[in-house]
Amino acid sequence: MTSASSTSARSLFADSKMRLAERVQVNVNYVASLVRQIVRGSKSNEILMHSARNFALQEHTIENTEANLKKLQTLCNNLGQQQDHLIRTCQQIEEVKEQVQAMQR
Amino acid sequence: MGSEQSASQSRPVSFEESNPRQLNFRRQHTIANPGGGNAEPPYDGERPGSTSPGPSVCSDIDLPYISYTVNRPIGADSPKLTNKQQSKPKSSQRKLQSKNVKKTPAHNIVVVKPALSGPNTDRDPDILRLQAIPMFLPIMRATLNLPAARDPEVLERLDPVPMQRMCSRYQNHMYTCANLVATEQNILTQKIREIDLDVAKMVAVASDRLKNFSKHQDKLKKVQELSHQLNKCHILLNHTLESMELLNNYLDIEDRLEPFVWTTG
Repeated sequence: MTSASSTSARSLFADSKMRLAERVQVNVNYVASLVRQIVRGSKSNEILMHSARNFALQEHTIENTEANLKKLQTLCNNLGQQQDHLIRTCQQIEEVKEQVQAMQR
Repeated sequence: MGSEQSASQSRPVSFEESNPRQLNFRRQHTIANPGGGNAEPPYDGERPGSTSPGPSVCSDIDLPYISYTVNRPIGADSPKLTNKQQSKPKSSQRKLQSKNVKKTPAHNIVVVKPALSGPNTDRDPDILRLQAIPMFLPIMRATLNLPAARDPEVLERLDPVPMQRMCSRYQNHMYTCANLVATEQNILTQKIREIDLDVAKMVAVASDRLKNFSKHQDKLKKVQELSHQLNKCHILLNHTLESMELLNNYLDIEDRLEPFVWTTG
Protein backbone atom coordinates (compact mmCIF):
# COMPACT_ATOMS: atom_id res chain seq x y z
CA MET A 1 0.00 0.00 0.00
CA THR A 2 2.88 2.34 0.64
CA SER A 3 4.70 1.53 -2.57
CA ALA A 4 4.49 4.48 -4.85
CA SER A 5 4.69 2.61 -8.10
CA SER A 6 2.51 3.74 -10.91
CA THR A 7 0.51 0.55 -11.08
CA SER A 8 -0.64 0.82 -7.51
CA ALA A 9 -1.34 4.46 -8.08
CA ARG A 10 -3.53 3.68 -11.02
CA SER A 11 -5.48 1.20 -8.97
CA LEU A 12 -5.56 3.66 -6.11
CA PHE A 13 -9.14 4.70 -6.31
CA ALA A 14 -10.49 1.48 -7.67
CA ASP A 15 -12.02 0.55 -4.37
CA SER A 16 -13.61 3.96 -3.94
CA LYS A 17 -14.91 3.88 -7.44
CA MET A 18 -16.39 0.47 -6.87
CA ARG A 19 -18.13 1.63 -3.74
CA LEU A 20 -19.42 4.73 -5.44
CA ALA A 21 -20.73 2.61 -8.27
CA GLU A 22 -22.43 0.35 -5.77
CA ARG A 23 -24.10 3.27 -4.06
CA VAL A 24 -25.26 4.61 -7.37
CA GLN A 25 -26.58 1.22 -8.34
CA VAL A 26 -28.44 0.94 -5.06
CA ASN A 27 -30.09 4.29 -5.65
CA VAL A 28 -31.01 3.43 -9.20
CA ASN A 29 -32.54 0.20 -7.97
CA TYR A 30 -34.58 2.13 -5.43
CA VAL A 31 -35.93 4.40 -8.11
CA ALA A 32 -36.68 1.42 -10.33
CA SER A 33 -38.59 -0.37 -7.61
CA LEU A 34 -40.56 2.78 -6.87
CA VAL A 35 -41.59 3.17 -10.48
CA ARG A 36 -42.42 -0.50 -10.77
CA GLN A 37 -44.64 -0.19 -7.74
CA ILE A 38 -46.46 2.73 -9.31
CA VAL A 39 -46.98 0.97 -12.60
CA ARG A 40 -48.07 -2.35 -11.16
CA GLY A 41 -50.07 -0.81 -8.37
CA SER A 42 -52.22 1.09 -10.80
CA LYS A 43 -52.96 -2.14 -12.72
CA SER A 44 -53.31 -0.03 -15.80
CA ASN A 45 -51.38 -2.58 -17.81
CA GLU A 46 -53.74 -5.39 -16.95
CA ILE A 47 -56.88 -3.38 -17.52
CA LEU A 48 -55.76 -2.13 -20.89
CA MET A 49 -54.59 -5.56 -21.99
CA HIS A 50 -57.92 -7.04 -20.99
CA SER A 51 -59.90 -4.50 -22.93
CA ALA A 52 -57.63 -4.79 -25.94
CA ARG A 53 -58.08 -8.55 -25.99
CA ASN A 54 -61.86 -8.19 -25.80
CA PHE A 55 -61.81 -5.74 -28.63
CA ALA A 56 -59.66 -8.02 -30.71
CA LEU A 57 -62.20 -10.83 -30.21
CA GLN A 58 -64.77 -8.68 -31.95
CA GLU A 59 -62.87 -9.09 -35.17
CA HIS A 60 -64.86 -12.21 -36.01
CA THR A 61 -68.08 -10.40 -35.27
CA ILE A 62 -67.12 -7.55 -37.51
CA GLU A 63 -66.30 -9.94 -40.37
CA ASN A 64 -69.69 -11.52 -39.91
CA THR A 65 -71.31 -8.12 -40.10
CA GLU A 66 -69.45 -7.30 -43.26
CA ALA A 67 -70.55 -10.53 -44.95
CA ASN A 68 -74.14 -9.90 -43.92
CA LEU A 69 -74.01 -6.43 -45.34
CA LYS A 70 -72.78 -7.73 -48.67
CA LYS A 71 -75.60 -10.29 -48.72
CA LEU A 72 -78.01 -7.51 -47.97
CA GLN A 73 -76.68 -5.58 -50.93
CA THR A 74 -77.32 -8.44 -53.32
CA LEU A 75 -80.76 -9.04 -51.82
CA CYS A 76 -81.62 -5.42 -52.40
CA ASN A 77 -80.62 -5.71 -56.02
CA ASN A 78 -82.73 -8.82 -56.45
CA LEU A 79 -85.72 -7.20 -54.81
CA GLY A 80 -85.40 -4.25 -57.13
CA GLN A 81 -85.46 -6.49 -60.15
CA GLN A 82 -88.46 -8.28 -58.80
CA GLN A 83 -90.24 -5.00 -58.28
CA ASP A 84 -89.65 -4.01 -61.90
CA HIS A 85 -90.95 -7.29 -63.10
CA LEU A 86 -94.03 -7.01 -60.95
CA ILE A 87 -94.81 -3.55 -62.28
CA ARG A 88 -94.53 -4.72 -65.85
CA THR A 89 -96.70 -7.68 -65.15
CA CYS A 90 -99.36 -5.55 -63.52
CA GLN A 91 -99.44 -3.34 -66.58
CA GLN A 92 -99.80 -6.39 -68.73
CA ILE A 93 -102.79 -7.44 -66.70
CA GLU A 94 -104.48 -4.18 -67.62
CA GLU A 95 -103.79 -4.78 -71.28
CA VAL A 96 -105.11 -8.31 -71.06
CA LYS A 97 -108.34 -7.03 -69.54
CA GLU A 98 -108.80 -4.63 -72.42
CA GLN A 99 -108.12 -7.39 -74.92
CA VAL A 100 -110.68 -9.62 -73.32
CA GLN A 101 -113.22 -6.84 -73.41
CA ALA A 102 -112.41 -6.26 -77.05
CA MET A 103 -112.84 -9.88 -77.85
CA GLN A 104 -116.17 -10.02 -76.15
CA ARG A 105 -117.63 -7.45 -78.46
CA MET B 1 7.09 6.02 2.37
CA GLY B 2 6.26 9.56 3.00
CA SER B 3 4.45 8.87 6.22
CA GLU B 4 7.27 6.80 7.51
CA GLN B 5 9.62 9.64 6.82
CA SER B 6 7.50 12.09 8.69
CA ALA B 7 7.08 9.79 11.64
CA SER B 8 10.77 9.40 12.04
CA GLN B 9 11.82 12.93 11.29
CA SER B 10 9.20 15.11 12.88
CA ARG B 11 10.29 18.60 13.80
CA PRO B 12 8.93 21.86 15.05
CA VAL B 13 7.84 22.60 11.54
CA SER B 14 4.89 20.26 11.71
CA PHE B 15 1.78 21.33 13.55
CA GLU B 16 -0.84 19.85 15.76
CA GLU B 17 -3.81 18.27 14.28
CA SER B 18 -6.13 19.48 17.03
CA ASN B 19 -6.15 23.00 15.64
CA PRO B 20 -8.10 22.54 12.49
CA ARG B 21 -9.02 26.18 12.36
CA GLN B 22 -5.49 27.32 12.30
CA LEU B 23 -4.58 24.80 9.68
CA ASN B 24 -6.80 26.36 7.12
CA PHE B 25 -4.18 28.67 5.84
CA ARG B 26 -1.77 25.93 5.05
CA ARG B 27 -1.83 25.27 1.37
CA GLN B 28 0.25 22.76 -0.36
CA HIS B 29 1.07 22.57 -4.03
CA THR B 30 -0.47 19.29 -4.94
CA ILE B 31 0.55 19.76 -8.55
CA ALA B 32 4.22 19.52 -9.27
CA ASN B 33 5.49 23.06 -9.43
CA PRO B 34 8.56 22.99 -11.56
CA GLY B 35 9.41 26.66 -11.18
CA GLY B 36 9.09 27.34 -7.54
CA GLY B 37 8.16 24.13 -5.88
CA ASN B 38 11.40 23.56 -4.12
CA ALA B 39 11.36 21.39 -1.08
CA GLU B 40 12.22 24.38 1.03
CA PRO B 41 11.05 24.17 4.61
CA PRO B 42 9.56 27.42 5.93
CA TYR B 43 11.67 27.76 9.08
CA ASP B 44 14.71 25.62 8.86
CA GLY B 45 17.11 25.25 6.10
CA GLU B 46 16.95 21.50 6.31
CA ARG B 47 14.69 18.92 4.83
CA PRO B 48 13.91 16.66 7.73
CA GLY B 49 10.66 18.37 8.84
CA SER B 50 8.89 18.08 5.52
CA THR B 51 6.63 15.20 4.85
CA SER B 52 6.91 15.51 1.13
CA PRO B 53 8.72 12.62 -0.47
CA GLY B 54 12.32 13.16 -1.23
CA PRO B 55 13.91 12.68 -4.57
CA SER B 56 11.97 9.85 -5.99
CA VAL B 57 13.48 6.49 -5.42
CA CYS B 58 11.39 4.84 -8.03
CA SER B 59 10.74 6.15 -11.44
CA ASP B 60 7.31 7.73 -11.19
CA ILE B 61 7.87 11.29 -12.11
CA ASP B 62 4.29 11.66 -13.20
CA LEU B 63 2.80 10.84 -9.79
CA PRO B 64 5.10 12.31 -7.17
CA TYR B 65 2.66 12.85 -4.29
CA ILE B 66 1.02 9.46 -4.17
CA SER B 67 1.93 8.78 -0.56
CA TYR B 68 -0.30 11.57 0.63
CA THR B 69 -3.37 10.11 -0.93
CA VAL B 70 -2.48 6.52 -0.22
CA ASN B 71 -2.49 6.95 3.50
CA ARG B 72 -4.83 9.85 3.70
CA PRO B 73 -7.74 9.21 1.39
CA ILE B 74 -10.25 11.89 0.71
CA GLY B 75 -12.80 11.22 3.41
CA ALA B 76 -10.38 11.00 6.27
CA ASP B 77 -10.39 14.71 7.04
CA SER B 78 -13.51 16.53 8.04
CA PRO B 79 -15.32 18.38 5.27
CA LYS B 80 -14.86 21.74 6.93
CA LEU B 81 -11.18 21.19 6.90
CA THR B 82 -11.02 20.43 3.22
CA ASN B 83 -13.38 23.26 2.36
CA LYS B 84 -11.45 25.88 4.21
CA GLN B 85 -8.30 24.69 2.67
CA GLN B 86 -9.76 25.24 -0.76
CA SER B 87 -11.40 28.56 -0.22
CA LYS B 88 -8.78 30.78 1.27
CA PRO B 89 -5.65 31.02 -0.80
CA LYS B 90 -4.77 34.45 0.41
CA SER B 91 -4.48 33.46 4.00
CA SER B 92 -1.55 31.26 3.30
CA GLN B 93 0.63 34.22 4.00
CA ARG B 94 -0.24 34.20 7.67
CA LYS B 95 2.25 32.43 9.83
CA LEU B 96 1.41 30.29 12.77
CA GLN B 97 2.23 31.85 16.14
CA SER B 98 2.87 28.81 18.28
CA LYS B 99 5.23 26.05 17.56
CA ASN B 100 4.68 22.56 18.85
CA VAL B 101 7.34 20.11 19.77
CA LYS B 102 5.07 17.12 19.69
CA LYS B 103 5.41 14.44 17.15
CA THR B 104 2.78 15.04 14.52
CA PRO B 105 0.70 12.46 12.74
CA ALA B 106 0.74 12.46 9.00
CA HIS B 107 -2.24 14.82 8.65
CA ASN B 108 -0.54 18.20 8.83
CA ILE B 109 0.18 20.20 5.80
CA VAL B 110 3.47 21.91 5.42
CA VAL B 111 3.81 24.94 3.25
CA VAL B 112 6.66 24.37 0.92
CA LYS B 113 6.57 27.89 -0.45
CA PRO B 114 4.18 30.63 0.48
CA ALA B 115 1.73 31.60 -2.20
CA LEU B 116 2.44 34.64 -4.28
CA SER B 117 -0.54 36.95 -4.40
CA GLY B 118 0.06 39.74 -6.79
CA PRO B 119 -1.92 42.95 -7.04
CA ASN B 120 -4.36 41.39 -9.52
CA THR B 121 -5.29 38.45 -7.40
CA ASP B 122 -8.76 39.65 -6.56
CA ARG B 123 -9.60 40.47 -10.10
CA ASP B 124 -8.48 37.18 -11.51
CA PRO B 125 -11.58 35.61 -13.02
CA ASP B 126 -10.48 32.10 -12.23
CA ILE B 127 -9.95 32.90 -8.58
CA LEU B 128 -13.28 34.65 -8.45
CA ARG B 129 -14.94 31.59 -9.92
CA LEU B 130 -13.21 29.37 -7.43
CA GLN B 131 -14.40 31.56 -4.62
CA ALA B 132 -17.92 31.43 -5.96
CA ILE B 133 -18.10 27.65 -5.64
CA PRO B 134 -20.54 26.81 -2.88
CA MET B 135 -19.79 24.41 -0.11
CA PHE B 136 -20.43 20.82 -1.02
CA LEU B 137 -20.05 17.46 0.60
CA PRO B 138 -18.49 14.45 -1.00
CA ILE B 139 -20.83 11.90 -2.50
CA MET B 140 -19.84 9.07 -0.26
CA ARG B 141 -19.21 9.76 3.37
CA ALA B 142 -17.53 6.47 4.01
CA THR B 143 -13.89 5.92 3.23
CA LEU B 144 -11.85 2.86 2.69
CA ASN B 145 -11.12 2.44 6.36
CA LEU B 146 -14.07 4.10 8.07
CA PRO B 147 -17.42 2.77 7.05
CA ALA B 148 -19.64 5.64 8.13
CA ALA B 149 -23.37 5.44 8.59
CA ARG B 150 -24.04 8.91 7.29
CA ASP B 151 -26.87 7.79 5.05
CA PRO B 152 -29.60 8.48 7.60
CA GLU B 153 -28.51 12.08 7.55
CA VAL B 154 -29.10 12.24 3.84
CA LEU B 155 -32.43 10.48 4.14
CA GLU B 156 -33.57 12.81 6.88
CA ARG B 157 -33.10 15.78 4.62
CA LEU B 158 -35.52 14.36 2.03
CA ASP B 159 -39.12 14.57 3.12
CA PRO B 160 -40.83 11.46 1.81
CA VAL B 161 -44.41 12.55 2.38
CA PRO B 162 -44.83 14.84 -0.64
CA MET B 163 -43.05 12.33 -2.81
CA GLN B 164 -45.38 9.60 -1.64
CA ARG B 165 -48.39 11.79 -2.22
CA MET B 166 -47.27 12.57 -5.70
CA CYS B 167 -46.63 8.92 -6.46
CA SER B 168 -50.02 7.84 -5.18
CA ARG B 169 -51.69 10.58 -7.17
CA TYR B 170 -49.92 9.41 -10.29
CA GLN B 171 -50.92 5.85 -9.56
CA ASN B 172 -54.55 6.82 -9.07
CA HIS B 173 -54.48 8.90 -12.20
CA MET B 174 -53.20 5.98 -14.23
CA TYR B 175 -55.84 3.72 -12.75
CA THR B 176 -58.62 6.18 -13.54
CA CYS B 177 -57.48 6.71 -17.09
CA ALA B 178 -57.18 2.99 -17.68
CA ASN B 179 -60.68 2.44 -16.33
CA LEU B 180 -62.12 5.15 -18.56
CA VAL B 181 -60.50 3.66 -21.60
CA ALA B 182 -61.66 0.18 -20.63
CA THR B 183 -65.27 1.27 -20.17
CA GLU B 184 -65.28 3.06 -23.50
CA GLN B 185 -63.89 -0.02 -25.19
CA ASN B 186 -66.53 -2.20 -23.53
CA ILE B 187 -69.28 0.10 -24.75
CA LEU B 188 -67.88 -0.10 -28.26
CA THR B 189 -67.73 -3.88 -28.06
CA GLN B 190 -71.37 -4.10 -27.01
CA LYS B 191 -72.41 -1.77 -29.79
CA ILE B 192 -70.52 -3.86 -32.31
CA ARG B 193 -72.36 -6.95 -31.15
CA GLU B 194 -75.71 -5.16 -31.29
CA ILE B 195 -75.02 -3.93 -34.79
CA ASP B 196 -74.11 -7.40 -35.88
CA LEU B 197 -77.38 -8.76 -34.53
CA ASP B 198 -79.38 -6.02 -36.22
CA VAL B 199 -77.74 -6.57 -39.54
CA ALA B 200 -78.37 -10.28 -39.29
CA LYS B 201 -82.07 -9.60 -38.59
CA MET B 202 -82.29 -7.28 -41.56
CA VAL B 203 -80.73 -9.88 -43.80
CA ALA B 204 -83.29 -12.42 -42.61
CA VAL B 205 -86.20 -10.05 -43.28
CA ALA B 206 -84.96 -9.19 -46.73
CA SER B 207 -84.45 -12.78 -47.70
CA ASP B 208 -87.99 -13.62 -46.52
CA ARG B 209 -89.39 -10.85 -48.67
CA LEU B 210 -87.37 -12.05 -51.57
CA LYS B 211 -88.80 -15.53 -51.26
CA ASN B 212 -92.38 -14.29 -51.05
CA PHE B 213 -92.00 -11.98 -53.99
CA SER B 214 -90.43 -14.68 -56.04
CA LYS B 215 -93.49 -16.81 -55.43
CA HIS B 216 -95.75 -13.92 -56.52
CA GLN B 217 -93.52 -13.39 -59.48
CA ASP B 218 -93.92 -16.98 -60.54
CA LYS B 219 -97.70 -16.71 -60.27
CA LEU B 220 -97.78 -13.52 -62.21
CA LYS B 221 -95.70 -15.00 -64.99
CA LYS B 222 -98.75 -17.04 -65.73
CA VAL B 223 -100.54 -13.77 -66.48
CA GLN B 224 -98.03 -13.06 -69.15
CA GLU B 225 -98.55 -16.45 -70.69
CA LEU B 226 -102.26 -15.87 -70.49
CA SER B 227 -102.00 -12.62 -72.33
CA HIS B 228 -99.90 -14.24 -75.05
CA GLN B 229 -102.45 -16.94 -75.45
CA LEU B 230 -105.26 -14.43 -75.53
CA ASN B 231 -103.52 -12.53 -78.26
CA LYS B 232 -103.10 -15.66 -80.33
CA CYS B 233 -106.69 -16.53 -79.69
CA HIS B 234 -107.89 -13.13 -80.83
CA ILE B 235 -105.84 -13.21 -83.97
CA LEU B 236 -107.02 -16.68 -84.79
CA LEU B 237 -110.60 -15.63 -84.21
CA ASN B 238 -110.29 -12.68 -86.51
CA HIS B 239 -108.70 -14.83 -89.11
CA THR B 240 -111.45 -17.34 -88.77
CA LEU B 241 -114.09 -14.66 -89.13
CA GLU B 242 -112.48 -13.38 -92.26
CA SER B 243 -112.24 -16.79 -93.65
CA MET B 244 -115.89 -17.36 -92.91
CA GLU B 245 -116.90 -14.14 -94.64
CA LEU B 246 -114.85 -15.07 -97.62
CA LEU B 247 -116.28 -18.52 -97.83
CA ASN B 248 -119.74 -17.15 -97.40
CA ASN B 249 -119.24 -14.77 -100.27
CA TYR B 250 -117.97 -17.55 -102.50
CA LEU B 251 -121.28 -19.38 -102.14
CA ASP B 252 -124.35 -18.56 -104.29
CA ILE B 253 -126.73 -16.06 -103.00
CA GLU B 254 -129.28 -18.79 -102.22
CA ASP B 255 -126.89 -20.76 -99.98
CA ARG B 256 -125.42 -17.92 -98.13
CA LEU B 257 -125.84 -17.89 -94.45
CA GLU B 258 -126.69 -14.83 -92.50
CA PRO B 259 -123.81 -12.55 -91.77
CA PHE B 260 -121.95 -13.77 -88.70
CA VAL B 261 -122.54 -11.79 -85.65
CA TRP B 262 -120.63 -12.50 -82.50
CA THR B 263 -123.29 -12.58 -79.89
CA THR B 264 -122.44 -12.43 -76.26
CA GLY B 265 -124.43 -14.21 -73.70
